[in-house]
Amino acid sequence: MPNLDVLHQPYWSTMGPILILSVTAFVVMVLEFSVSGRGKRWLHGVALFGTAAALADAILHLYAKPQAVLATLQNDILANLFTVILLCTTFLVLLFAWDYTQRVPLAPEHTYLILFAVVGALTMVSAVDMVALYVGLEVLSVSSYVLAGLRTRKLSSVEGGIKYLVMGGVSSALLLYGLSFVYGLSGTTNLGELFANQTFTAGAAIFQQYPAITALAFVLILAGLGIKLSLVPFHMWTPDTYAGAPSPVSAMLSTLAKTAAFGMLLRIVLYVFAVSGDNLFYLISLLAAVTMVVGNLIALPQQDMKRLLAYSSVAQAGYVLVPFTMLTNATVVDWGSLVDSIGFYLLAYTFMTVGAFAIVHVVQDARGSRTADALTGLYQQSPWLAGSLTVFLLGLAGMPLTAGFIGKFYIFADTLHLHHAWLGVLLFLTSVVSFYYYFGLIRKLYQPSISVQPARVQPTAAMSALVGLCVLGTIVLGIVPASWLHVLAALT
Amino acid sequence: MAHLFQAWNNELFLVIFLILGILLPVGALWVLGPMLRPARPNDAKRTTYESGVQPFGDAHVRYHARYYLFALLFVVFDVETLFLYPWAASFHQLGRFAFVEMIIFLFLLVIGLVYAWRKKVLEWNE
Repeated sequence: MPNLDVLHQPYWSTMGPILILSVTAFVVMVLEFSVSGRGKRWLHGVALFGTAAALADAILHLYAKPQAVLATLQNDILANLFTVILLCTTFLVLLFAWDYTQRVPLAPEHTYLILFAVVGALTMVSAVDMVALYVGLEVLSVSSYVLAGLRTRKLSSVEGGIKYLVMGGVSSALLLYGLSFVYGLSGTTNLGELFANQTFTAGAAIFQQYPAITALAFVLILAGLGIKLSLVPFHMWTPDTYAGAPSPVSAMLSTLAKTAAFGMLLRIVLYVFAVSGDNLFYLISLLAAVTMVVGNLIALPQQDMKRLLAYSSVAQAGYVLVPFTMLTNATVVDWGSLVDSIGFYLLAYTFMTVGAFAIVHVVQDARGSRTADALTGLYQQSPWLAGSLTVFLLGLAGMPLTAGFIGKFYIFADTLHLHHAWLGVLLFLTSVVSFYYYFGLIRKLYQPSISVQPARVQPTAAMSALVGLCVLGTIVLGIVPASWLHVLAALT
Repeated sequence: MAHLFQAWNNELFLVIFLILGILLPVGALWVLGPMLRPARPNDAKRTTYESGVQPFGDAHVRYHARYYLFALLFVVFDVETLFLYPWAASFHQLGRFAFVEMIIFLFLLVIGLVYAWRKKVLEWNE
């Protein structure tokens, strides 16, 4: 007897944000090819409305009892935490895209491609099944490849898109190969089941019995996600893709795609390797150390601001990777605080990075150049934009009273507490290196322009809203970190 | 020794099958075949087989880049058929929920087709 009971199950609310965004994406898609001319201006509005609705839904169900849909998608603490961060990011990126289309012609398809990418990202952070995780990753990746190469008439955009496509393909292949070994050892694609087997029965033994295969799986997964997170030595595509892609897409790749990949890495590390493969975690600490050092050192000589932000995002991913090192079996009681550090830093990083990319874009649009010299004299012309960029750069550098400082401080405190002080010290030292290039940009902002009067920089309403939100986020998280930490602490 | 042999049993069979799998076609096509068959080639025998049609032109044809759009649409609908067939075959077991799911899936594909149509992908203008 066929029935529709399945449609009335309460667990549909589990997928709330994903469903809302999917429907919004298709509505925007249909609108885009139905209306013509000036009607297309409303696309971003509809997309933003859908994202706001999804965010509201996510916040309303933040503390809901975890439920799983068909043992595949689950609204547990990790999923809820990352969903909120991802949806905030989406809102900012869409605002950015709205401003962008008022300056530069861009195929209107980007609105719903961004939404599809977010649907993939949300799947990545809430899936507890390896197949669903992979499908989510591919939805995000394929949309991102198209978005990166969306300015088909611009050679650098196509070049960046192709590079991202090739590297992304390699990444997917490595990741899938690694996951296949996990499946081969455990006999299940379901991470929840795998975790339960490891904790309560002798399931952990199988990983210890085959240390070589466990190591192979771990290395492959780490390399696959390392490409997405642009960790050193998998970062080569990052500057070219970020520099070539339309600016909102660069901002999206460095925040949304990374947050989702971190969420997926966290899920896999916690469910698969934390219990019985934590002897391999020195690889994560090596990767984090190399990423922090190399990312910050290569950023030093950069003159192109988008490339500088690309390398800075490489280094920042290294900072976020530090807490992952400590998610071992021995520190189960501290997992909550480690996840808090990761969640805090990712949200802080989102505000600072999207804001910085946005202002770099406005300046580039007005002055026709995105070298650091283009910033000269911005303060005299537009103190509001110059001040905002100062806040973002100080935050990325990790100055006190900004979100970046608190984020780094928590990670640093974790390393001291859990006997990884060398990583904490390295984090501190590399941050000092990063001061040099961030302050180089800030100095340019306040230098009076000597020669000709540079072109006026005009932010649109969407840009003002975006910059305002990012400044607010950076400062509020910096001065009252408890606002977000309380949420995190209540979750974990 | 017997123990050792037992442990390698599966692999041994794998190797034997691998060797046979390579030897049989190679032996048949390159060794036995030429020894047994008469070799009397003529022009008609040497031509490329193209389902009975006279072959013409070069095999290295350059396709118009625009073909990829058609290829893409073709793949989409090919996969759709592939997905529809098992669904239709087990329609009675799957029930109404699967029906609704499939209708949603088809609806989304129709959106894709309308998109391609509206964006003039289906037109071939030089």
